[in-house]
Amino acid sequence: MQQHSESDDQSPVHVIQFQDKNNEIESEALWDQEEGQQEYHIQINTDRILDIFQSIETQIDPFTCVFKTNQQMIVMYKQKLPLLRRLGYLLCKSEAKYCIILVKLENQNSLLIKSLKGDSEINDGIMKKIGNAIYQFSDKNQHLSHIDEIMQVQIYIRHEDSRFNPFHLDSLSVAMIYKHLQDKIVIPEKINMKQLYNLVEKEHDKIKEEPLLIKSIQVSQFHIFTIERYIFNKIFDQMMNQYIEKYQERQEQVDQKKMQLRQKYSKADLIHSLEIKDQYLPQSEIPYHEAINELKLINLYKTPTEMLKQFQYVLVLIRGVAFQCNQKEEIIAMDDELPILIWVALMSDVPNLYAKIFFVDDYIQEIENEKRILTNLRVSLDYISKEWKL
Amino acid sequence: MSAPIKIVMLGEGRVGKTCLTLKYCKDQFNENQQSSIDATFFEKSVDLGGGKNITLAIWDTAGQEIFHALTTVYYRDAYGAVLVYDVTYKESFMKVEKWVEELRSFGTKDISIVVAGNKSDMKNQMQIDKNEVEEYCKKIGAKHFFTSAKSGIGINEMFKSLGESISIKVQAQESKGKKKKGLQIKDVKDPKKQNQKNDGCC
Repeated sequence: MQQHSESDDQSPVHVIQFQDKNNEIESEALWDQEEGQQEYHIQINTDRILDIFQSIETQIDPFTCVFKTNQQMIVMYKQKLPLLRRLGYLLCKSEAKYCIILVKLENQNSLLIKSLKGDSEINDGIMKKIGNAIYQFSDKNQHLSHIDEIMQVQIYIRHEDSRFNPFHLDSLSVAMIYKHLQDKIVIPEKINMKQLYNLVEKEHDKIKEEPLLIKSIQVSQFHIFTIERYIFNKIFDQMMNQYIEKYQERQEQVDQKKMQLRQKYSKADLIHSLEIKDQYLPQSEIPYHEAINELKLINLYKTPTEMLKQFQYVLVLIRGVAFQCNQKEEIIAMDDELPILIWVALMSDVPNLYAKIFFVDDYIQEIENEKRILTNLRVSLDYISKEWKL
Repeated sequence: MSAPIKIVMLGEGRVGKTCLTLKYCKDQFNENQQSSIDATFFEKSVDLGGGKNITLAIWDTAGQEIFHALTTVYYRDAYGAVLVYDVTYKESFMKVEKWVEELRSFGTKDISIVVAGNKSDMKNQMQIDKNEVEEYCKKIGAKHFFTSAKSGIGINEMFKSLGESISIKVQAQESKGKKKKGLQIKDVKDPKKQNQKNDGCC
């Protein structure tokens, strides 16, 4: 696992990104990168993690559990915000806040306890209470007065060996934003993409006023994603059906032509016909199969921004493979890239790809540069259906 | 920061569109040197003098004949075009006429055009008549530049000229109250600094 952190000079909030070997996970957290914040590992029976968490909850006053799963728990304390108890899942942002995270370490039968924010002495006191609670749960006949004794049974686990998502505070933000939207957002029955974009912007502005939410620049984009997810989960099917209907004829033409081309010509002939240069052809049965497979995954996404990122990822894969197999070390230009993209579009059977491209194109209001991949994909499909001679 | 203004690079395959852009934006000319640059898109700020500058978003296009019919898609929202031909290959100049016709038909109204006779460092192999070329460019209202991505000749002048042409049209639109998305001329607080920047990377 890799750990990466970025700091913002203007803000005490730091973003922490963790990459798991299997799943790339980005999380953000309030985390003081001050010296003195402690970290402990304690052996536990991980099968009973929820019971252990429950036991801890009863013994950490004045701290409160604000987030709990069968993997992790976050406890916080903020003196001037009694509402926090009632709004248990909320994450608050305050200079006076204390925050400790507890994470079950998979396959290690241990619990990581780490203080993230606040006075390290106060946090340490609570961590000792947590240690005692765990020990009491594990062996009710013993009661330890100092965490040092618990540390005798600890096992040290290096970060790179761990597979978990320790700072899952994004879940808190999601829960908070969803709660906010459930109560307040009204999505008109008839709405176009431009209006949807404006709606998301408007809700984002409102959420910025939410006192308990992290507002650093780093997480702003994450909040927009979350709002988009909420809205598009509700209206995706209805909106997409309109696009599918609108572009059905064009899609049928390209699907038919693809089938004809693939039946009539060998892969080598198709590649030759596209004038893809030899130095951009990797040694594989289906060149650029990575990008072809990735394009198919566009069906997994329901928000335009996520779909755009997936399209861009396809392009990243194309360039990655092209650079890797480019023996002459030439610069990849549109003369080289477009034929490869056409090849990828030809070999990817993505239902209603035209509809998806326009769905994203109509929503994203940013400068056109971000959407170049959409233009290139559309050109690729147009070439297949209209220009490629059988 | 002012929004970038889109321009497109047009020309037959292998005439040096990408190399021109690369030389201008990154001060690089690729002659079998190692590179892993995405050369399909660049942004570059152009100093217009008098404390003004604009940012060009330079789109590369595929020049192969088989893709010619599709290139019109790339004209959308473009306020300028660089038509590139190879001075050592006369047929590539003949194609310029086709690009001009298409730009006038499908491009943005009043699109600014410049014509680049590239590979002008290869004087011994030149196949075009200079007078004929310049007469044609005058007729279509485009400035002509002899350029070389290898030596860098004419490139800065060409992009600056295009930037100036676009900015004049933008200011005219602004004065008519027709300000469009992406069309802004930025006031520069320290022109000296901007001059220095313009000589470097984008």
